Amino acid sequence: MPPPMFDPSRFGSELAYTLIVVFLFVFVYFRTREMYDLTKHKGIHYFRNAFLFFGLAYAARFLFHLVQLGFIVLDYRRPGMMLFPLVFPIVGYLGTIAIFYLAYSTYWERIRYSYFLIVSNFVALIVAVAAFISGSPFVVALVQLPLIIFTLVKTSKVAHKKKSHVKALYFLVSLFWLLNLFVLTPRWFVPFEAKVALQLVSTAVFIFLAYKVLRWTR
Amino acid sequence: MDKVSRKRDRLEVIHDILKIVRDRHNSIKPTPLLRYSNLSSSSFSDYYKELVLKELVREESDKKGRKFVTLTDKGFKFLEKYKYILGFIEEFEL
Repeated sequence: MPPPMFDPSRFGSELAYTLIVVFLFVFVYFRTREMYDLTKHKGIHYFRNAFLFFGLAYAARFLFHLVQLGFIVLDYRRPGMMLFPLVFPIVGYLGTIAIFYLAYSTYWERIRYSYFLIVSNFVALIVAVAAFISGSPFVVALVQLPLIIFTLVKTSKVAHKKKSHVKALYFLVSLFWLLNLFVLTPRWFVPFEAKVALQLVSTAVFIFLAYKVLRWTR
Repeated sequence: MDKVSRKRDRLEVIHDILKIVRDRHNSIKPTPLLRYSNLSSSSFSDYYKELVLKELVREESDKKGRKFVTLTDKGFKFLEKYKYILGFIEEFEL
């Protein structure tokens, strides 16, 4: 029987949330495959990459819960301290690359891909190192926050003929990623109800995004 | 004209070339295709290479060795999905 620290409802909600989110992002990735195969449009390519990396990042984020559960069941002490340095560099790297790809999908014609690759990987490595040294998702989120603001400011200047308010959707996807990092930190007190509310709202936004993709890929 | 709309025009050109082929009973010689596409020969050559590379069209020869351009299944699919592709690119500002 697991020790009393283990909370099945928290673990269950995290598992369900991760499965749904990863499914939705993988759905976006595969649903747009035909469109990309037909056109080889670079914007579609980077858009797909963004959701592939978000899917991987959310899956990696769940590793935290899995390994923590392993530590608890095996009765190790202070599992968070042992785990964060291992998991959060991966989570930080994948999340950063995902945010970069999402932004780059809208302004890829203005910046060379090689330049984008160098900058995005450099920043993602800095985030990963910061995550490794600090062992805290709070630091990862803190480093990613200015990145999101910067990329959104840059991309909002790109003019498009049709205003679709999709930038707000991109902002929400990135914001929910950060909030989902904040709620992982063990020192951060987040009531279970607030966490579930965040999961419900973010799931609704991700479903809306997947629905928008579905509408154009019938 | 900014770069974003130029990119869209590029897809439009591809669409137009494929449509010309389809509307000519899916068989047209390269020279009339160049004429109907309203492109310069160098520009047409670039697009044509791209279409062959992307497997949207293929070249076939008859018994006399005359070349014809025909759409592939992928080419037909592109025409079928074209409005959705444009809609998607605009919707997500790609």
